Amino acid sequence: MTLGLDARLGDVRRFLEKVWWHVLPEVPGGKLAKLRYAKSDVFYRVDNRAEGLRQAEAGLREPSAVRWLEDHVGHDEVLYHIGAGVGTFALLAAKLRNGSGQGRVLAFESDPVLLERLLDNIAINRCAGKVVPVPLHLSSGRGPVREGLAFRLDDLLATFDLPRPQHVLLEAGRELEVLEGADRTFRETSLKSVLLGGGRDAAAGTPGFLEERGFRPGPLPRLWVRQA
Amino acid sequence: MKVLFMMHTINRLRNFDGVVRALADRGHTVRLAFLQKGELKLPESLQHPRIEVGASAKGRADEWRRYTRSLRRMADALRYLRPMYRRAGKLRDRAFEGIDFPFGQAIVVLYYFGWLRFLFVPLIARLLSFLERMVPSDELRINAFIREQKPDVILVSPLVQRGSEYQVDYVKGAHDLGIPVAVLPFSWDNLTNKGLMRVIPDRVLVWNQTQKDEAVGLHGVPHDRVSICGAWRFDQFFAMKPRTTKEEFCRLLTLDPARPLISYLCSSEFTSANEMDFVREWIRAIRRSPDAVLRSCGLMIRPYPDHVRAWSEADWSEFKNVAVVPGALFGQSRDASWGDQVLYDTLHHSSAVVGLNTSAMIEAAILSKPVHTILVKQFRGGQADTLHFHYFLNVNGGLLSVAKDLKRHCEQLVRSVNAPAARAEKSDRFIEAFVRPQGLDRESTPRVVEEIERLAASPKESRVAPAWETALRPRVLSALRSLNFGFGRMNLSMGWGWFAKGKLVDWVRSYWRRRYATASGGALAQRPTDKVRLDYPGKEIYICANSDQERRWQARSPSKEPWTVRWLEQHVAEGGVFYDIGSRLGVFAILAAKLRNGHSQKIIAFEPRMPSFIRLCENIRLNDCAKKVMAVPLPLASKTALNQDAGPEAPSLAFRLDELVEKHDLPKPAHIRLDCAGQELSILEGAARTLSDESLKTMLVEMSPAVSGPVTDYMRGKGFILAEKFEKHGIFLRDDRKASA
Repeated sequence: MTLGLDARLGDVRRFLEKVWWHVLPEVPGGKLAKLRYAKSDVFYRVDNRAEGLRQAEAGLREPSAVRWLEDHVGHDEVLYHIGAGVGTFALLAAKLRNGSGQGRVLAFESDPVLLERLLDNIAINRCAGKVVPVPLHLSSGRGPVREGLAFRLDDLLATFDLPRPQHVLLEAGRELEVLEGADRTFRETSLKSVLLGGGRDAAAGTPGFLEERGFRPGPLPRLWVRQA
Repeated sequence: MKVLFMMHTINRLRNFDGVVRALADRGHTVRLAFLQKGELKLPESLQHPRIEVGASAKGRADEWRRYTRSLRRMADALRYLRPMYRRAGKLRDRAFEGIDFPFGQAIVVLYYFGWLRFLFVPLIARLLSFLERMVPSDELRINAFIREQKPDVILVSPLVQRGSEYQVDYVKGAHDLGIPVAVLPFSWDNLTNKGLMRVIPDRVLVWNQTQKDEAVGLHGVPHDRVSICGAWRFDQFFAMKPRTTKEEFCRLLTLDPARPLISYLCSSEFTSANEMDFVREWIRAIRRSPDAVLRSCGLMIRPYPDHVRAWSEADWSEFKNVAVVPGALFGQSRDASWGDQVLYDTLHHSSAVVGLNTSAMIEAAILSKPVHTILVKQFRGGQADTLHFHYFLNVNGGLLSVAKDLKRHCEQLVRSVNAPAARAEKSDRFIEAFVRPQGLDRESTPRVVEEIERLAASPKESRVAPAWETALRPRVLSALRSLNFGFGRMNLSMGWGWFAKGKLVDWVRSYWRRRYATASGGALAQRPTDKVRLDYPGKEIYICANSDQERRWQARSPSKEPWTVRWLEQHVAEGGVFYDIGSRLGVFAILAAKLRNGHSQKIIAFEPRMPSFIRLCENIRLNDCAKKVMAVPLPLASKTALNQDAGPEAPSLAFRLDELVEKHDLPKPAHIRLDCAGQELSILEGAARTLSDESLKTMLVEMSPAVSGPVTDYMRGKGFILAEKFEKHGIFLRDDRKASA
């Protein structure tokens, strides 16, 4: 056998992936897949195999985010997920509370394509009320921009009686813009921790911004916690 | 004596025409039987009163036919899991193509677990050969066909190739009817890189000792049943004479006759897909060579016969003194040997020959030409990893001058071009072992004919199946039936398709659905399925529709509300920011955008319901209006607050229009269309300052009878008059505009 072990395992894996895709149940618009996470069942709709696999492993790819949810986010606390995408992570956060507690996840997502998936996934997982989709584009300024109508997070919190966040997961592409529009929110002491997404375009100014508002690097990568 | 010669298709005849002709000349009747139907036209050289031609009975007529093809293909595929084929990944892939899913794939998976392989592969092979033994000969069709022909001897070719699995039944039939049967391989690589024989014929006629070893070692044919005859297909080639002189030949190809020629022989698609790029690289390497003679050589490229056209039509103008040899160089001909003549002349005038892995290299060796090859990594699967390529390297000292890269290859070519005779000895030695093992001057065809005659004369008894075989057969058949083994009744390449349709998958899916997602099917909205054109004649506007209701009503909104369209054309099309509040799928927002080509002012479509908002965005994209129309997923209300009308699970952020305009930098509207199913009055109350602003010129408001009065009063207070009233809508114009008119 001249093929390396990796190549052999790769073949087996690709084969198993094909089987996996074929046995997934169908739902309108795609197939129904399950997140690879042992502690709760999170389902989501997918259109194609590659994307499905990427999503399925979302929890595995970001173990620190999962540990943050398990260890730091309490059952009665409110989590803002900014740039929620198709919502697998927001749903995971909601499912971890297991029905108890008053906590909510506010999932901010402005891209209509992702938003549609997000709504479907909330329906599939019966998480209406636990995960609240907010279809607004958060930014540092106001008014019409390319992505739609932009809002500042501070304005939204000042205007509406929204639950105040104790934790923020920030995965929107332009992190610093979002943060600049949320200056007051981040100064509030009720906000305990912030987890930054591991995107390539993470802005250089973000650590400075958080430090200035009383956050220090936490025990997990990219996690910032408020100093007591 | 009557010979029944089974062949797959008539183009296979080109390798046997000498043998067939010789049999007829010796007074035997030859009945050629091909699988193909329709008109079968023999070449001129075979027009003979004792040569008959016709179709053969294709396959079995009994129930076993459902299972035999799968069974045999699986056995073929299994052979590529043997250690000697460990490098032949490409052959393995080809063998496993179209193998029915669970078995084929399961074998591959087993294969990758080394220790399981040694346990299971021989076991499965045993099982398959046992099943093959259980398959009886087919009385209904195959044996009936043989009886009708009354042959004294049956010849079968190639038996081992994919697609000729049905020929196994002819061998079985011949055994059961007591008629001697011989197998003739079609080409030099048949015994290694095709399938297995499965049923041992009475005689296997092979070219040389190498093939004999394979027949014995790989196919399990007993020693005494294999006869070495030499490669009969090259007898005519040995006898050929060049048709042209070098000058004439070069003139036909527009090459320089003063320079030496090198020919490149292309290989099949399987060996080297996209060989053209490599050939260009090869030519460039030669043109860059330090040796002046080699640099200026004439280069002839002989395409593989299936691809002559593509190669002739390709653009070779970047090179000088290079020609593609067309198939019909000496004019069109009906005869296959005419193509051989072109090949003969091509090789004859060459000083050296280059190729990757093709049988034309044997023909080059027959003409005592030095033959070169380059080991190309990209074609490894079809070249170095195949077993038959190693004949060229090993048989009687080997034929090829092998180079690992183009630089060394050019160095070798220089030596061959300068002294072709020195290299000729190598080719002759190879031919002596591989093509004419009886002696270089002895033809092979008489030897084949002699073997066939001897076989026909030898007595043979009909095979009687042992009692246990007969007793077991119906049980095996019913077992296969209940397993649904093979599934290959109509289409063998179903593979995954069958699996996807199969009961197993249905069961897994339904289990999963029951277990986890009982409610989800209903919870999901239907996806948009098609797009329909809006019935507005002037513009091409499409909307996504996923139900008949949408197709019928949304697509026809312009004709249902002609007044809205008129209002859009008269007022909105002139320009100015347009708010479409309660936009739904965006029909009117997009129509407005299309009506006002050139105006860059924004159109803002408000749609608070999520499913509609998503569809609105889709429609905007579909009509390419993203630069003109902005969708806003917010409800408007009389006061800015969290709106929990839809229940506490789905709160939404309701804004006053005034606040959005003043605080969030929305451009001030010139036109507003308001269609919000009863919410009109509260929205208008939240827009008091916007309505008072002079920049707002016209409004179209839906007014159900209940709110008609209050809305009209409210608007009058803001300086508007009701200009027109329709069934459900009213058009308001600013008062001063009317006064000035």
